[in-house]
Amino acid sequence: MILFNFKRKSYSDAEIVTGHQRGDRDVQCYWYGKCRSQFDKGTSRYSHISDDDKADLFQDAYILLLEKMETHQMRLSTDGAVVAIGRNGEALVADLIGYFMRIVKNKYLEYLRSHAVQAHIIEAITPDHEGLLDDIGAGDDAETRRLRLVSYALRSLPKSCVEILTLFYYEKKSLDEILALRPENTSYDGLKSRKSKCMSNLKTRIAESFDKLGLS
Amino acid sequence: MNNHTTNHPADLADDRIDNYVRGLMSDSERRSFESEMERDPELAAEVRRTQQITDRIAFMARKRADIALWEGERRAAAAMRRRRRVYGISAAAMIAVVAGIGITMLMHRSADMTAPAINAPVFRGAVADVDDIALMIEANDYAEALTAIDSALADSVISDSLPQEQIDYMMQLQVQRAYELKWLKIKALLALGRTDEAVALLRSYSAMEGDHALQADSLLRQYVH
Repeated sequence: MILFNFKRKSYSDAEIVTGHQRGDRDVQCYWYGKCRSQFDKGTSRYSHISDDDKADLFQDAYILLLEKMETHQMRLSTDGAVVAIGRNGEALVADLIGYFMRIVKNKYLEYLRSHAVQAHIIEAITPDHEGLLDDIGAGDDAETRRLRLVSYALRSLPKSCVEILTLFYYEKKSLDEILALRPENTSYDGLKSRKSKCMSNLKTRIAESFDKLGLS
Repeated sequence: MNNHTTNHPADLADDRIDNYVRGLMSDSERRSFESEMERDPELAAEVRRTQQITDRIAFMARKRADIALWEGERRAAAAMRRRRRVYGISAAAMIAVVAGIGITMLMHRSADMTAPAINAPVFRGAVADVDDIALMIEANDYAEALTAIDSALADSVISDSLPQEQIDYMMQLQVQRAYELKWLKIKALLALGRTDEAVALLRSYSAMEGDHALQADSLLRQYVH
């Protein structure tokens, strides 16, 4: 059991990135706490978003950042600084917690747009796109870019699709078991159809993105 | 396996791919399927796409599980910090109360133990004075002893400004001191041959209660036949 100890030592940005890349649980635990605290402070004035959606916002932003670290979209430069691969494949020096909060802000903007919040409210929030988010940078090999595309497409799916696919493929539950867990799915055939459509949509989005970036 | 069947070819193909990536095929089924993939690039590509997706799904699910675990521990740690804060404040408050009571008691006691007024006789107690005079008598300085005794008996003034408790205490000491001084006076008078004065003093002295009562009575009978 990981003990969440607030007296643990602090880690530098470089240690955080390399720690995540080697799966160091202490580093992961520390970084989670830091992101969570900063998120709570930085989003205290976010409006037009429910607490549940805010929790999802944090999870999405946090997982995105973890993915970037673990798939080496963020790495150490030769002089030990943390760099992130940007939109045009350029390496950017990132302050890790600031980078995380920029991801959060952009995710929040996406949320506002998807929930038809009035334009003037959205416009008041300055987006931060430089080398962030789900940019499929040109600086990495094709396989890494495909993985990022898959992640991006997965994150863009409706929550219900992600839930069904997670239960089916990750938890390896049968459709009957999923039906028992999800009262909103009223029939086996309906659930199976839903699962197939989710997977089909996902594959279509991925294929289109691959084509666009010449990764097919 | 489920009780639902489907004959649609697309569904069957999807089911086979799903069973493969979910590890639900038997060894022979898996080997057969993999051979088929080698012969059918389209099938292999479809399987690869499905596996990429399931890998990413697994990654996100593991991270969400980690987040849930860490969030639970973070909240438990925050709750523990709040409890410690409460305990700390309570302990500090208790210590402050105890210290406050202690200080108040000390202040109260020190108020009782005020220094005697300046014009009150400062004596270390009856014994010291008496001891000094007793030493004079042992040294056969009877006349000097008598003078000291008379001075000591005349000098005992207790200030009215003192608390009643202290006055009472000092009066007790004074009575005891006077008793001792008078006994020494009797001795000094007898030593100086001033027997009449000694006997007169003995008459009143032997009626007083004290350590020397028996001796005084004996002396009186000795000098008064």
